[in-house]
Amino acid sequence: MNTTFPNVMAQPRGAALCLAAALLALAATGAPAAQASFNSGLVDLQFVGNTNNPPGPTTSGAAVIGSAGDVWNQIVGAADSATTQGPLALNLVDGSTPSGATVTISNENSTPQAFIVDYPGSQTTQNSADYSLLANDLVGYVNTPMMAFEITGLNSGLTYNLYLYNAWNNGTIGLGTTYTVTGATAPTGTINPTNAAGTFVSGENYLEFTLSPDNTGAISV
Amino acid sequence: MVSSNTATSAQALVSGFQLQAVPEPTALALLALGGLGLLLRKQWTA
Repeated sequence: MNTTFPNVMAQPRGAALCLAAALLALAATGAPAAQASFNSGLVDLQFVGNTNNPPGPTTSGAAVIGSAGDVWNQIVGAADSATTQGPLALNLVDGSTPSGATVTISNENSTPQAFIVDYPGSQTTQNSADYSLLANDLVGYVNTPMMAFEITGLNSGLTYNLYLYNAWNNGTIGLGTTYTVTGATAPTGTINPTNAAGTFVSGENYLEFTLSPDNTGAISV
Repeated sequence: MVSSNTATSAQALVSGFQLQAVPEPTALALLALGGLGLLLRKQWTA
């Protein structure tokens, strides 16, 4: 039989080697092994309480993405007087495998009374699907509120999806929050919680960003 | 950066986040290429 295919493709060894390489590549990207940098999988993080504010309920499982049984990193905030915290290592959603990523929280305002605190109880609809996640918030108490957190240990050659969550806040304080994310295709977004939705609604209690880290493997929110 | 939109409430909020690494297309492309090679080999020898 005549053929115009290259010899390498006509050889069973060539195809088998190609398939083996593909399987190895898939294993490298899909297995929940410890990663030098965050190359695959999902990291979930919830801010819960601090030394001055007892933690509210903790969350588990899926939010906008994820699966039942996912384990969330739960960071207890620093004391009210603290202005920075971290870097803190983050695990994958299996709850034990280091993702390679870390988070550092900082206050961007030099006002002396500035500090970071978890604010429990801002989501009051306790039976809603989003209650356990949104019941606690990371808060910057300053006259001109600005805070940030940096995520490091990412792969500068990869793309990431970031979902930021924010709570309805009793309608009394902190109604709207604007987020600026470095490396995002659409870097700025606003959450205006107007009611206790009970479900996840984009713009009301979460935002999604698609982003690429800088050449050091970092992003900043 | 996280900024409050209200000038007097003095709070900026975030409850948490999810960060997902988007799988590289390279691994899937290699798998497809390997499968194509096996398919062509099978068709050629049939």
